Amino acid sequence: MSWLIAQVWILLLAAFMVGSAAAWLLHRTLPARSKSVR
Amino acid sequence: MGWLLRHNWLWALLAFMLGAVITWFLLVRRGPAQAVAEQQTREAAEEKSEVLVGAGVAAAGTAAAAPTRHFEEPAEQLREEPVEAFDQTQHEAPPAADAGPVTEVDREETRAADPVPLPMPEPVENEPAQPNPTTAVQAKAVAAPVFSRRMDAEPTNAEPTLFDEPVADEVPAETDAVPPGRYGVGSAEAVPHQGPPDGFTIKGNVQSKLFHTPDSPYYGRTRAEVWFRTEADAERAGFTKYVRKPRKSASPGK
Repeated sequence: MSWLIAQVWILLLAAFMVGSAAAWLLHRTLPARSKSVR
Repeated sequence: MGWLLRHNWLWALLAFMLGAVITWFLLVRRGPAQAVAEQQTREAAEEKSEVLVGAGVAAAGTAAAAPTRHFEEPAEQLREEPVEAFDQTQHEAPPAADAGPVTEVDREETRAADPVPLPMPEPVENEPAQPNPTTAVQAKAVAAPVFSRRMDAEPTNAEPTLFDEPVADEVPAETDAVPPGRYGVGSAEAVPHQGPPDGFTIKGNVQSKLFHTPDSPYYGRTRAEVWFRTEADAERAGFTKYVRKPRKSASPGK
């Protein structure tokens, strides 16, 4: 049971990291596009 | 592991959104804060200049006492400015540190300049005394390597010598030996860890489609992905010349 809970926590942590990486990549690409226009 | 995701997909999605929102918030909040900080520093600088102008007229005590609060703020904001400058340019070349490009260019200049002062006139002076062709060939091999002739770029201006013709024949052969790059004639593919082919001095960046002449402050630190012989060649290939952008703080205030 505790292993199950640990797995769930790991899953949540991984999801959090993936989400933050996605947001970072999005934020990184958006200014780059506007910068290339400038 | 699939069943875990199937049972907890909602929580995973929630964690994903939470991570994305927090990261986005942190990234976005830093931008406007720095813009505001820059605005404040600009205003503070204007105030400071006004204060300094007034200081000549007014008593020194009031001028020194009044602006203390304004001097603290810009100091605080100025500390943050290099961070922003780094963030903006982290995908380009970093902002100008003068030592890098200058030394690079210097090195290139010295490399280009080295073969020029080779003792060209000496064999010319010695030549009439030695009509023997074997000694002439030896003198050529020792004193005047082939590349020194190409650095001169004007072989017609030099006095004609016995061995001018073979050198003149070799020059077009070697320049033609540079295969045209992916942007056609006038461009050359950059070979990693090697310098440019002779006559190719312009560095092209394929991603940014910019080219740097040796005048560019980023010439030294730009890694050439393609070399161009002339600016016209680079522009024909769709590249644009790098020009230094005007600094933001200088534009509206002054």
